[in-house]
Amino acid sequence: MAAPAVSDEAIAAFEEALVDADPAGAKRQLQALPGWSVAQLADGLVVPAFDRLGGAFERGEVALSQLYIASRVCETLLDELRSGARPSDAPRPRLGVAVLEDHHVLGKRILLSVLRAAGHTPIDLGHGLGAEALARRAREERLEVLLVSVLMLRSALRVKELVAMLARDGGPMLPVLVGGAPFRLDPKLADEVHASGWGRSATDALRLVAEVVDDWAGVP
Amino acid sequence: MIGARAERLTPAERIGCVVRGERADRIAYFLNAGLHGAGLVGASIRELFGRADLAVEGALAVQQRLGNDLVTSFTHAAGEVEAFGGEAIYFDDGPPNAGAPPLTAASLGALTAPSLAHPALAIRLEVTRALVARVDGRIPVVGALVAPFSLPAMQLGLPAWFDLLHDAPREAERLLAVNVEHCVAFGRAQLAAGASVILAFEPLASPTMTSRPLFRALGLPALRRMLAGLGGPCGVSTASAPILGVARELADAGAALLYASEGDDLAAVGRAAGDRAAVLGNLNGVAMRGWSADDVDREVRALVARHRGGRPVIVAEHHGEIPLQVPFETLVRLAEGLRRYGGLDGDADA
Repeated sequence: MAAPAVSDEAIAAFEEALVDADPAGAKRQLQALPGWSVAQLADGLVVPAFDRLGGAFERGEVALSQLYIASRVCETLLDELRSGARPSDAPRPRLGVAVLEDHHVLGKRILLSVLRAAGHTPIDLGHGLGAEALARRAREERLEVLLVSVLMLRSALRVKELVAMLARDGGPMLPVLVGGAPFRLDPKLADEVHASGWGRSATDALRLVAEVVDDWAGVP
Repeated sequence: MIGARAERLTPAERIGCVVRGERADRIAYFLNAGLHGAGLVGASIRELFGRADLAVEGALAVQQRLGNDLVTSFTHAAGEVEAFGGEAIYFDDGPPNAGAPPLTAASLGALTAPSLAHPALAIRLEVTRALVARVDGRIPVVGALVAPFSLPAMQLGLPAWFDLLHDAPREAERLLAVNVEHCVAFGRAQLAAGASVILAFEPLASPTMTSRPLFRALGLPALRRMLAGLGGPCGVSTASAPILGVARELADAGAALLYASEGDDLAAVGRAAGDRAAVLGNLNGVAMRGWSADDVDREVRALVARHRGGRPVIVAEHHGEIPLQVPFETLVRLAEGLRRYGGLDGDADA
């Protein structure tokens, strides 16, 4: 069932509690919507709040540390609400998240938390993986979308090999979404490595995944 | 070799002008292409950073070919976490990367600063001494270290560091105290080895990286203690993250240099710092990868136009090292352009 509309004030208050690393305040905002399912809270409150947070991060109004803590708080709260609840029957793509070659996992951690808070069940494929190993894991897990985080330029360039390997093995086309510093510093890089899309921050992932799902459904 | 050509000022004299806010003969620049040094001396990156003699030859080869106004003994940031028990993972086509974090929140109680005799630190001191001897006062030698508030990104990993800062600030302060002790000792040793200035990499000082309350409560005091303890000039780099929003606080803390990102307006950074710190930056190395000859010329002219007339700056790649994927010929053309068009007297050939 689609989420009822939430006021901008409620979304802003929830966002503010997340930015302030205030779990109690964030919980109050969730509790202010009694009777809502977890899926409705995720779609109606969490996703719009992270959309705003992503914009604030891009404008330099919110720091990476705040984005991380916000995602952590939100994931914990939603997990509490979900415990014992019936799983959502909304269709969700099978997502995998990995750090290609690098060992810096912050981007992946935020990505996993944001995706989980929004109701997805992403698979953590780990970090420090080479292109070949990651392509193999992606196929083993029968992923429908692969999200790749990188820190270093050399790792970002490896995405091209990854995409080629995934294309070569003849399986269904697997969208590869990318993010990380090199892609922010050179917005043309994502096209160069044949990524299906790229995000400036982990919160962009929600939009990118939604676009992929919409493409499948033929929604314009 | 561009660096062998005679000019009116030596690099040290030119940098001296920048530091004093005086006009020099041309724009000062530092195309920090340390990784390219490997190819210039016929070594792998692991060999280059693993042997002091090769590191020195590589740094000097880059300086000679590009005519940089600075030379650095910095090799790789991951080396500093090796001294805390971590590892550096080497690649043929990029900088060494820090491996799995060696520390956990539970292990901090027994943590002490590493000995400067640790091979990963000792080699940097050896490189500094050798470079200083070779350049003989003609070119300033820049030492470097990873600053106290950002070193935990490699010691613990960034998620665990953010967790600690938020959940256990007293534990975080304990780690910061050890890191300040380490940074002061390592920085002082580099200065004693002859480094003209230390460059402290502190990306977490950027407002885009940590919230201001967090930085002001924990990061800034640690950085201030480190700067006070060094007993010599030290700059701060936010390693391609914007610095403008923290420039005044860094200058107040005693930073002698501010290393700005591509997105920063260097003049605005200088003004924010009350002209108490020299400013360098803000070339984007990742974007440089695809520059054609025309792009280089356009960038040079834009750079010169931006900086002619204002307080002098040092043009440099903003992250701290130029990616190996940038063709060396691009850097040579950039250096030649800065020399040809970078006169600061207002009637140069621009």
